Amino acid sequence: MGLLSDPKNRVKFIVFVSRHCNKLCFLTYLVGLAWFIALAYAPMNEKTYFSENALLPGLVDSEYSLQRAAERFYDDAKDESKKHPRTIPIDWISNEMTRLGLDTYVQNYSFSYPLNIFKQQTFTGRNVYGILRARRASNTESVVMSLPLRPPESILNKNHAGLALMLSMAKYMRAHTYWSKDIIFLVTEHEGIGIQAWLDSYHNTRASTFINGSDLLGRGGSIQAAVNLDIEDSNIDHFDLLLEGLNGQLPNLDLINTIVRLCRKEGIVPTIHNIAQHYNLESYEGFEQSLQTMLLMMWSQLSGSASGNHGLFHRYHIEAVTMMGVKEKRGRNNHGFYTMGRVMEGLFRSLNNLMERFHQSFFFYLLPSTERYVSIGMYMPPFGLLVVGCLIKAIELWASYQSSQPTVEGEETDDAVAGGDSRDQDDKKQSLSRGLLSIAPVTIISTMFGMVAYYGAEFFIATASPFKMSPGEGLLYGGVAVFITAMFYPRLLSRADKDASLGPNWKVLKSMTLIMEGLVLFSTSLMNISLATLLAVTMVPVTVWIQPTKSKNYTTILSGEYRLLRFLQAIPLLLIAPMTLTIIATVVNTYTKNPYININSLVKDSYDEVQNVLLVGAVENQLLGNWTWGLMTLIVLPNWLMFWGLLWTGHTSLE
Amino acid sequence: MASPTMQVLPAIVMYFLAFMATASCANIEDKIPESFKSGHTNNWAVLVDTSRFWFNYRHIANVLSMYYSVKRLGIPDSHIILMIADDMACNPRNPRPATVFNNANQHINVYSDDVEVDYRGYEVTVENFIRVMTGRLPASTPRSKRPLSDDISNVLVYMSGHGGDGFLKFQDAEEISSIELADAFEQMWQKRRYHELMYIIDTCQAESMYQKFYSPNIIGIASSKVGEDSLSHHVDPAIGVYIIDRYTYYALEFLEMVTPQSKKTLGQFLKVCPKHDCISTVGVGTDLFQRNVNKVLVTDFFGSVRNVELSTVDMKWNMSSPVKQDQECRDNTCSEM
Repeated sequence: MGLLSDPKNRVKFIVFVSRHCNKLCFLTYLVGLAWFIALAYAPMNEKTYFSENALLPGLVDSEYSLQRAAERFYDDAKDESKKHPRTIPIDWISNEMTRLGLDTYVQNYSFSYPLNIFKQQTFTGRNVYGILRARRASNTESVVMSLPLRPPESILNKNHAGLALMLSMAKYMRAHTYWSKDIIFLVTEHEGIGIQAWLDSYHNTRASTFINGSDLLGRGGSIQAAVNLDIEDSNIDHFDLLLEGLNGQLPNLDLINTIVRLCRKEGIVPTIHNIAQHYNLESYEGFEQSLQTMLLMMWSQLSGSASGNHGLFHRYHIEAVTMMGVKEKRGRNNHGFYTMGRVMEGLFRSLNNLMERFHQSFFFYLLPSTERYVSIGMYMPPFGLLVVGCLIKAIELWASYQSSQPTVEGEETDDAVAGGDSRDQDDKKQSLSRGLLSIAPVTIISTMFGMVAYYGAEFFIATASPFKMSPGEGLLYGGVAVFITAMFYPRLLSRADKDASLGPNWKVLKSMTLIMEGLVLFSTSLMNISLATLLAVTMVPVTVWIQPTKSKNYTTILSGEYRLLRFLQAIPLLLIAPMTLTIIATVVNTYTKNPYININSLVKDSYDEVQNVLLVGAVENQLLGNWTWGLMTLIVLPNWLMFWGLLWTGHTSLE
Repeated sequence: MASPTMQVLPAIVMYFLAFMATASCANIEDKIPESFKSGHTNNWAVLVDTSRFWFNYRHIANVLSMYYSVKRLGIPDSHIILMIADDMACNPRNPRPATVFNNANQHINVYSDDVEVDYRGYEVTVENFIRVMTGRLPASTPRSKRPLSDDISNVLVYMSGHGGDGFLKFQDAEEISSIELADAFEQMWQKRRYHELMYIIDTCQAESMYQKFYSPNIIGIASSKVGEDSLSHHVDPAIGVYIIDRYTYYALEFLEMVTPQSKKTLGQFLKVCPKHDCISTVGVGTDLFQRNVNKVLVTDFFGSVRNVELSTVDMKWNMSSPVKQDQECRDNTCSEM
């Protein structure tokens, strides 16, 4: 019989686990962490390969040679944009596309910000797109080349070079007859909002109540893949690939492989997070570089925000990636429109060969370098080891709680036969309720605080302006206020419960909370592995370790020590609270962006950044559907509060 | 009164005359040229491509090149069943529309004016293929889709596509197993639908497809042994696909040297594409074949040779004809001239 289904074996298993619980927890955590880090080392991961035979990447000779036309478009685009300092030259682009022979359409959209940030003021924008119809095919499928265009006053890359490249590609593609899918050239405004409006109208969905796009007059069949361009200048140093999508979703790995192969064919270096593949992956430097790339990818994925416009395509099952043409200040910058155009041409020829959506290669992976991958099958075992300590501890605690209960199972049937001894049954009920139901107050209060944090965001922002604070500041201080208030709830509970007879049994509370934590971490790992790993690495050791120290017998003699132990455990617990984690992460981020910063600027910049992080998290939650804010406030925060309650209210004497 | 010798003499004379007659008949037999003795009088070809999709361009190019060679050597369209599962010439991805090339130098368009495809697109299924081979076609099937081979036809069957150990994939949706194929050929033998059959297959692990044959007079040629993959030959960078497979490339190179009068033997054909050219090992199955391959002409299978021999010797044929020379026949009645 199986290990867990045979009662005798089950008992043996539980006894083994209980006896070696601490050693097992410690060991599994360390092994899981070490294994996860080791995944970046080349012999532990695999070389990328093409799963989709239809792609035939790089087999056909490129014929693009319209770099001079592209340069003319570039100059024209820069001149036109000077005429519209606050917006983008939609009409000029529309004219150019019509002149090239594309079916051109303009879409209007309006949007407002959630949480009453700008007092429900509506903003408008326009997208323009041109469709190149495939004359010899049946127009049932299409691929998209999209481009976020920014006005001159924006601090981001204006993307005029991207626009020039796109228009020259349109001109080139129009002259050839071998397209089997329509090609949609899309120019959007307002970053993610414009693209979301277009996608919503294209698919007849409504992802958010705050974005309204007008109906599209022209359509091109179902979209198979999309490429987003973000080119900084007409001469770039390398192509940086941005993969991370909304909620941590990634494009199919075959799309990345195709782009990497084509970049190599044309002699331009593809990078991930601006790090190229090391020439000797098996050396220590190679491992360091791979680890850095992998950690940067995880860092970018865990916020759940898309790293580019491509991220909004993923939930429509459209594989999309952003190709960022990066100009380095001290680089050679010797790749012009010719190379860029040939890469794009090869990419679109390969996409042209597809007959089905990308489905063969991986959707869940981490990339330590451009030509090596870590698939879900490789990173789930170490992640599992990281988290299994929670479950082992939970089993041990539950088993020890059960063994300390008076055994009533055998007696129950006899009593029932003998006519039922209601007193015994009442006792049994009471001991059970002493067990499971006793944790109800802690759980309910924690969940309530989570809901206050989630739904209160709007309130905090609304109360910010009377105090002359920016919305971000309001949210930050409001969040901190909720957090500090929440930290005091155990005191309320223990005050209402002077003789500690109604408090939760700490073993039951901890066991249930650990199970909840394990459940949250495993579920998150299936969708956003980076967020789950960060939470696991920080939360698991602390939460498995803490326990309330013995109370009643020691209050008089060792009260000082008792309090000290509790404070010693409270400090790490505070460090892994969601709020503190966010603040620490922001500080780390600010520091890594500028390692030479002095302490004053670091504090000030982090202060600004943390407001940004909270605000963007809350706004994107409602505007674009990024569930990280909801997860952290509604689930992780209550879970943490339950641990906090465990530390301060759990009584060991009542077992 | 006749003596005994006198009575026997007519018999002796008759026996002598008969002997002379048979002797002269034997002489006639000797005078019949060798090429009329092979036992078949017509040739058929069944050329099948089982893959579709743009990246399987080379399979269509393989089959069309075989078609081109076979037609050049004399087999007419009425004796060829061409089954092609997808249309490469009119595929929107083809940068040279209306053409199919089998070589990167793009010298020969094998999909030129007079290509007659009998089974196209989704009609190429396992069921249709077996019906074609065994002749179990509905009465409404047009003549061009119906192989009318008989017991004095030599049949060439060429198949190209994706295969595995014991099966050949048809169009991504179904497979034909080697046992089904062997049974189909046995049905052909029992219905006397071939005199000799040559089976060529160019897929991965191709040898497994002819290993189960058990009917006589079949020779099987496969581009790779079990466990090996057949490889493609080269890429055409202007079109962007692998354009032909190795075995077919070298087979075509051999066939280009063959003319209808050529005396090249099947033994030479079987040696085409050694391992250093094909990388996979070419498999040959001759155990069911009765003749010596070194004495069989390549044109016995690949061509449809109508031999004309000029004879300098008078030959009298002992045949009685219903029509006498001084008779004139019209409207089914014959009358004296």
